[in-house]
Amino acid sequence: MKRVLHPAYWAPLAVLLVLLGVLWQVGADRMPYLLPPLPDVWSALTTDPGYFLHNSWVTLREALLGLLIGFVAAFALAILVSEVTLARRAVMPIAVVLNVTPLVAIAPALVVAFGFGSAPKLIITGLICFFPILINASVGLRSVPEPVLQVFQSVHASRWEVLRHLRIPGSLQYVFAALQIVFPLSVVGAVVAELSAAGSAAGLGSVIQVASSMNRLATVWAAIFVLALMGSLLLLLVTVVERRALRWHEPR
Amino acid sequence: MTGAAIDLRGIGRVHEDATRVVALDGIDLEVPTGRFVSIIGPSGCGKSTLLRIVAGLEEPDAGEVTVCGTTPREAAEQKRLGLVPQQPALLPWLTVLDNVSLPAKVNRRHNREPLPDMRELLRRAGLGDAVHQRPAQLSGGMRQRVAIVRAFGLQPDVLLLDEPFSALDEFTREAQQQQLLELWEERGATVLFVTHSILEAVRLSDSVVVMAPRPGRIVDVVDIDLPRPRTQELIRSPEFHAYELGLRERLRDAFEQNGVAS
Ligand SMILES: Nc1ncnc2c1ncn2[C@@H]1O[C@H](COP(=O)(O)OP(=O)(O)O)[C@@H](O)[C@H]1O
Ligand SMILES: [Mg+2]
Repeated sequence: MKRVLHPAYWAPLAVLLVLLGVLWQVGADRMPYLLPPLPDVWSALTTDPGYFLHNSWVTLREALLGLLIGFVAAFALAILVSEVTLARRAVMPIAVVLNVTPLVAIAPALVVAFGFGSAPKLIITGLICFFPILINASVGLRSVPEPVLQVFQSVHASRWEVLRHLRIPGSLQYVFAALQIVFPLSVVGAVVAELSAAGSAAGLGSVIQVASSMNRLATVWAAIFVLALMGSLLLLLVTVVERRALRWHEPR
Repeated sequence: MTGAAIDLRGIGRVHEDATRVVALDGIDLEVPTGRFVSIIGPSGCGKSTLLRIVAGLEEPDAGEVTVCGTTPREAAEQKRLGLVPQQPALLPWLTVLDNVSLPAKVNRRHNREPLPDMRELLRRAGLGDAVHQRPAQLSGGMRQRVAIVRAFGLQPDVLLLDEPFSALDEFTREAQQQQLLELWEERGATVLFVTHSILEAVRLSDSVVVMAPRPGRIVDVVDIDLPRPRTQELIRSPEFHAYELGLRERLRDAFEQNGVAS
């Protein structure tokens, strides 16, 4: 952690950020219709922080709830698929095809079907999170080396015991790799769903939509920055939890 | 129990793949209770396959297996078997203590009470300081010792080891052999020990089974009538050498027969 505080560590990033900020300002001077000046973005954020806080919370809640639903469903299915060969042969091809289908495209259809409430948002977010978790978890659950399985078979361990003591702990590494992808992605899912539901009342996606229809560029960008921050914080959260959970991974 | 701990009659095994290699053919072997028996032979002669059949991990295509008077699967269910595979097969996320204690947490109904003090077993295997370390922090030799302690912790009637020391350097290997013998003498289990080292086989065993490949078969069983403990002095003795030479001869025969036949 100390390393991070050393100038050699953060200085290059700081310099680049300042440079980008300057470029932005130059751009904003020349093309005010494309880029709002940074001070405007800042004041859009600070004049009504409650507005952003409330809408951020709505989006964050959709994202995390959708992720939770997607995770539980995907992990349960991964266990089924890794235990039952027939289920694996039936499910995995469908999962792979669905995975390459742009789920973003079905968002409008879901809004038509489920209305402007939170249901379509949770479904979209859940679906987007579902496949990386399903695929990684099912690989992870089957990653236990054969000799380990043989040792447990030689003491007549039940399927449940193998699952609980070997397969599930052995899959964590793979599951965390999926979570690294899926945590930031859950925000994408929530925002896409909000953007698709033209009349939806709240969330940063709605903020962007309303503000851009009213040509309030500063507000649009303020929301985008908040989203970027939210995604980064979520990623940081998974990384920290992973470090703690998989401490055995790096020998000290 | 008296009589044979392991009884193999007419065991045959063909692996179900494109090559249809006859891994084992007409294997007859009787291992009396409490004996230390080594299986030696060139790689590919079916040693591991034989061990897996005794452990109930694989079914033979012909013949009958009896382990402690029952089928291998029943013996496994009653926790009478201890298996040490070629790789240590430890769980990287568990400490050494948790690794060796794990077998007692599965199939609990058949645990052999009272359970041994695993800390004490680890300490005696020279792993006292490593109890709370994880496998990644240990040397290869220490990991292998953990795997052996894990098997001994089950207090098995039959201990099955597949080339447990083959990845170790000569020096570590000798210390490990010594520790294995100590544990064996104390517990009095029947041991089936796969190796491809002649020296190791003579040093450890009551008798040595010599196998030859294609098809995997037993060509000789040599009883090692040497006193225990087998000290350095004994290992340098002419009697010991005679056994080594004899086994080397038998192995060469096995190779050449095979060369002529194919
Ligand atoms: N799972 C398997 N599938 C197909 N062939 C196998 C399998 N395991 C072993 N064999 C073949 O069976 C023969 C005996 O193998 P093995 O028992 O591992 O011999 P050893 O342990 O003496 O080296 C070899 O020819 C090997 O290629
Ligand atoms: Mg082998």
